[in-house]
Amino acid sequence: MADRASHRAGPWGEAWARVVRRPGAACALAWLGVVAFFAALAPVIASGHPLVWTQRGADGAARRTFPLVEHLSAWDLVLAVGVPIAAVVLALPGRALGATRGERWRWVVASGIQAGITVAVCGLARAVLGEASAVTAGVIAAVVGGAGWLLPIVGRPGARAVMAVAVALGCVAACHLGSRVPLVDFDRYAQAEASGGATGVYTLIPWSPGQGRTDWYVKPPGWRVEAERGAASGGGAGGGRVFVLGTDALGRDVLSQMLHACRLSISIGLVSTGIAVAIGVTLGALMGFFGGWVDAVLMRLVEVVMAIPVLFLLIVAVGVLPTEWRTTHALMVVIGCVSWTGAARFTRAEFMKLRGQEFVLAARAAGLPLRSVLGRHILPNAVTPVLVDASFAVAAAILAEATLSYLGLGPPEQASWGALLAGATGTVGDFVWWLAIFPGGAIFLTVLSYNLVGEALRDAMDPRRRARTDLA
Amino acid sequence: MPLLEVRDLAVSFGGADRAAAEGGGRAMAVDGASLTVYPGQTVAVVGESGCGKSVTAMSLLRLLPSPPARIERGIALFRHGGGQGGGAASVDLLTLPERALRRVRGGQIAMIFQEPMTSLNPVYTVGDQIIEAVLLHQPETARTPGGARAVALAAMEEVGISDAARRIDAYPHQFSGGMRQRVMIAMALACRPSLLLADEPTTALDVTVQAQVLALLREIQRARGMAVVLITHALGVVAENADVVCVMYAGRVVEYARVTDLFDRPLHPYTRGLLACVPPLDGGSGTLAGRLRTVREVVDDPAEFARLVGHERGLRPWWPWHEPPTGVGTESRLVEMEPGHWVALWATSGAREMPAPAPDLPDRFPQAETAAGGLVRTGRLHSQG
Amino acid sequence: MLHYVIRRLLLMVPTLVGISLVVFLLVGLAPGGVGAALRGAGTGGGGAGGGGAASFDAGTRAAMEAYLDERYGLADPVLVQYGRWLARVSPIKFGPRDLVAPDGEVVRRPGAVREPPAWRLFADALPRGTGEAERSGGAAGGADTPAAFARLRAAHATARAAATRTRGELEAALVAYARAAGLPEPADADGRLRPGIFEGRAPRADLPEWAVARIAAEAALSAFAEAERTRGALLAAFDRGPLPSAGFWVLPGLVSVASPDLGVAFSKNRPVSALMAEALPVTLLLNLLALPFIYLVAIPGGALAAARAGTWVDGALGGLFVALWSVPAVWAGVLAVGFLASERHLGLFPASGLHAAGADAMAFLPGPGVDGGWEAGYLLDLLWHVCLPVACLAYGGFAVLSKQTRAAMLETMGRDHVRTARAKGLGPREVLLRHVLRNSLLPLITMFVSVFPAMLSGSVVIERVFSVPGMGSLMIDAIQMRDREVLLAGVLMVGGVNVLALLLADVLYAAADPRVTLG
Repeated sequence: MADRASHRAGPWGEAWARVVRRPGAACALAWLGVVAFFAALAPVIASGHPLVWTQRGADGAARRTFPLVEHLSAWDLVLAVGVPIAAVVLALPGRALGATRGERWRWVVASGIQAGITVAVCGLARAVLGEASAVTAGVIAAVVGGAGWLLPIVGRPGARAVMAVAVALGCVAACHLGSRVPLVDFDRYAQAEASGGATGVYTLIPWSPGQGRTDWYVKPPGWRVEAERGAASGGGAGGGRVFVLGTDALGRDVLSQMLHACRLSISIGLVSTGIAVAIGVTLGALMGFFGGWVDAVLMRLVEVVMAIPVLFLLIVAVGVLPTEWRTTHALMVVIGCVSWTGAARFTRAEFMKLRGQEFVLAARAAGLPLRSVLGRHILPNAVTPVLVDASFAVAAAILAEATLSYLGLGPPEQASWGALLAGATGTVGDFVWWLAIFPGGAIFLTVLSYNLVGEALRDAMDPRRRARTDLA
Repeated sequence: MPLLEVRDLAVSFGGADRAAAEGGGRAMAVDGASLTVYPGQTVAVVGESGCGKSVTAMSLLRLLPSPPARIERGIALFRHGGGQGGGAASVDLLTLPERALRRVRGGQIAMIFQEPMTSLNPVYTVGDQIIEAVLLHQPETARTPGGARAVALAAMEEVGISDAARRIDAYPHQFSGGMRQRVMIAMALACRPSLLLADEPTTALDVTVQAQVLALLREIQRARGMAVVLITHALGVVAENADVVCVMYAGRVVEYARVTDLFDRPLHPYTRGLLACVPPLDGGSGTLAGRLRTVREVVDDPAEFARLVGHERGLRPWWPWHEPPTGVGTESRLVEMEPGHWVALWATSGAREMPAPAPDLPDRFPQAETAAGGLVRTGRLHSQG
Repeated sequence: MLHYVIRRLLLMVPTLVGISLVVFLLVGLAPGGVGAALRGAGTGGGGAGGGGAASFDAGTRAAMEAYLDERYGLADPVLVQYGRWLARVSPIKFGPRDLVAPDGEVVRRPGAVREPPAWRLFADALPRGTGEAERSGGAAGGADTPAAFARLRAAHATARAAATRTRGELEAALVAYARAAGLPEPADADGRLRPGIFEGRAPRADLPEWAVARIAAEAALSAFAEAERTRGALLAAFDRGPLPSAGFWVLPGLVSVASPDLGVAFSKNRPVSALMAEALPVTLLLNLLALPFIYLVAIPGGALAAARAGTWVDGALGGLFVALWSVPAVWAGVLAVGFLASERHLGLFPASGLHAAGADAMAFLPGPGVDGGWEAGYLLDLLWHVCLPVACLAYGGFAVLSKQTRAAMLETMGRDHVRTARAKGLGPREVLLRHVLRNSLLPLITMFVSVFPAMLSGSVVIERVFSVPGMGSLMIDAIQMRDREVLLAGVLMVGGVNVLALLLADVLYAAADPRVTLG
């Protein structure tokens, strides 16, 4: 059964099938799935805003609002709705929706990109045109997003349906939401409940990552918040809520921060690696194919960047940025721009090896333009070792981000595992164990998972591996 | 008294990959091989790639990696300290405990391999590697300073490496191919084994060097009375060097005879096919004018099979690509068709009635004359390299 | 071999230049440039004078900025600044030699004093009597002794500081005047006066800002004149060579060789070379101690895994090493400090620093203590403090190296010469040790290439966690203080150590493999 399926897939499909069979890699993928799940759904699972807020007005009538939804950003909504839909679409067995699973993966990826573009364009349009023109921005975004229909990938009705949902979602989200409400006072919810004027239905973890109070300073896991003053109305008003994993030095819930940090680590890991691979492969291809002085000059650049230990370079690069510039995006770009040397060396080696091979000569003798030779014949072969290494690169990027956050150089105001870890020994003379074990454990498990998947992938792609250790 | 008696050796290969890919089961690399070696004799094991000849030799010394390879059955009786005289104990190499087998390896039975380039360790000098073997099997040489080195030097000179005193401290990559093979031979022979297993020793060398190395082997053999199992796929080498020939195909012995009998009167169609591939110098009889017949053509030709004596009694030569006669399955039987000439037949009822002792030929041909008429050089050749 | 080493050492130079250029550009081209960073823009509280900078009045701020511009040459384009820094750092110097003060500080020829901006507007305010007389008058006797020279230096330094300060104030006043006069965009993004803005315009003496500017101009011009005068005197004294010259001539008058001058750390007011001399040995100590430890654990581990390839031992070891490799250095350090070192839990190891308090007073080797007990001694105390940091540095390398060892050994085991060795009759242990391990060591030496930079990276974090005063801590502090000199020197040092390590690996490889000849 596995053989038949892998028959249709290329070498990557076969390799992937072999990877999934190994128990260590399977566990790793499971953990990464959990992290991805929380990355998508964290704002909906862990928030200090109630899902449903019923306010009893002076006239006795109950008014219902949905503060949580109002405070979601466009990305939050798109991810929270889109990822479960994507998961369902992918999990359907066999030939559901008229397509194989491989094709459905391509739809999902294309739709995701489309939704992302829609949201981004909408945000850009609103920034340029001003807040009032939400509808105009939505229309522009819909046009841009809808242009995805022209992609050849979208041939089938099923794909079109999925894509349409994605684009529509993106538009709605971006138009309706999109403005991030600054500092919220979460206490008013508790106070309103204590005074008996309202009730709220909260999410599973009723804390937002930024919500903290000084009297909740460094509470151990399982600490329960006492009810507000004036709880004569009978407990439960804001009280009875638990900090499952404790709080940090600013009184913020650790579990909530950890869940929100999943998004940061996944996005930084994937985007930085993508940037690094793009830069590295481009430069490596140039070096390997042209040789000569191009190679000599670029090789010096590679040596220079390699000579400085990565973390030093990162610290300098990030440290010189003013604090307000240290956004997540900036961090992704910086990490990507620092870790490209490995990909460049691999690609260069492969290009140099393949350059002299006969099929390249044949292609050029047949009159194919250089671009075609490079892109269609050499590149796919040369990129293989880089892609096999990609999983390790993602692990390294996540480690780098965690270290930077620990050192205080990460994106401020953003929940991060590394920043939590820094709080463990931050308070002088005291060791806060729940800030050390849980965030650190999350970093460890994520990095371990990427490493295991990378090892399994490398073994699966290497035909010469003989002694198998199928344990891990 | 035979020095080595191999009876019904069977070696299989298997492993996780294989099991998953081909629905379980192991591949039989050798399926019932038998041969006998006498002191001072050269037994050639001939066959094409994949017929199991190297596996046979390596399994005698148990050099095959044991998870994939497994010795299914068979015995290999070796006479310890066997030389011209008799009377030393016989041991079964296939079941010998590891420690005792290590004493046999290199000391009693030596093996040289096909690729001299990679068979020597590049980071040690040639002298170090020979001395290592000497110290292992002749520990008494260690008592005198430079004792082992002297033995190594002598071995190098014996194989014809000039300027041995300087060359002994050189590294393998500083030697040419032929010289490296001589070094291998020196290393193998430094401990005076009674049997040498030579696994295609000259295949990687060019023709002139090949002739030198083979002549060297013959010379040493004659001087010491050492037996040689020569594994090769070159019939010319067989004709010039072998006393007894064992032809193998698909893991089984197909024909076993004296070299003169084999070349004069091949009985199995496969052997005839092999010999038919050699272009005759005189335009030869039995071949289509100007065109060589392939092995396949010979083997698939029913007329060839009909030539076998006893064809009317239902005797058919064994060949795995043909339909076996009814009721036989895959079983074959190595039958002594003529005195001193064994052929593998399908195990039909007729074949089962024929005598099938284990192949055993004590003949040794003096080096100067072989009935096949090949040129033989005697005397030592000095290396030019 | 010697040729190869020399050639590689020479090739190091462009690499080091490249490294320093990359870092310089990073620091210089960051938003706002080094100037903005040094002025504390956007640090949000970090750095000396950071948070407070915005609260000064315009005049003081301008003076501060002028001081920084002067000291670091920030007004010039980045590449010019780089060139200047490079000239200072390079051991090969062109032009006249610098002097060396008794305390080791390098005394450079005083550079030109910058003119006050737009001084022509106030040309009539120029003080009289300046000029040649004073310049040559400084040739009066008594300037040849070091003490007199030091006095001249001090006088010039004071005058120069005054000139800088007044210039800054003048600039601020001119900007205010220009705004009041309605001139468009008098200041650029950094708050500096745009040159030539007053061209062709009549001065508006009616504005109150004009009077303020005039007063500032008078002060600036007289300070400038004084600074020029003292400079002239200093130059004349300089050329008479009252102090020993730095370095020695290679081509007299043109090219000399002197020790590189890494500058003075802005945040600590100490020469950078002194800081390096304190920090670098510490980092090297940690890394060099970790290195043999790694090899000691990884090689047997990898050999064991290879020897038992395919069995549960191999799988378990592989899994263990992957898990170890995945443990983030930060986490390991924090856990170690928290559980092993802090008093609340196990308290086995010291939690921070390299020495216990009062370590200097201890004898080097263990022996009887002052009050009759047993004292551990300096050496043991150091080792005890170094245990946890070294362990945290080393564990990451186990996985990489043991995996490489295992892979190399497995590959070697399949080679023909191993088969020959077994055919000779060698036992499994001898085959493993003599024929497999020895041949597998070659790739392990080059493994060193990737292990060492990773360890240097890791030591940054470890030093921070354990409060060890090494290069890592130095760099992190320098980042937060925006201390460019320390950053540059630090990166240079670390890059240099790295490149030297690579060179060593190549040389060792050539020594180990007789087939390799270094060309």
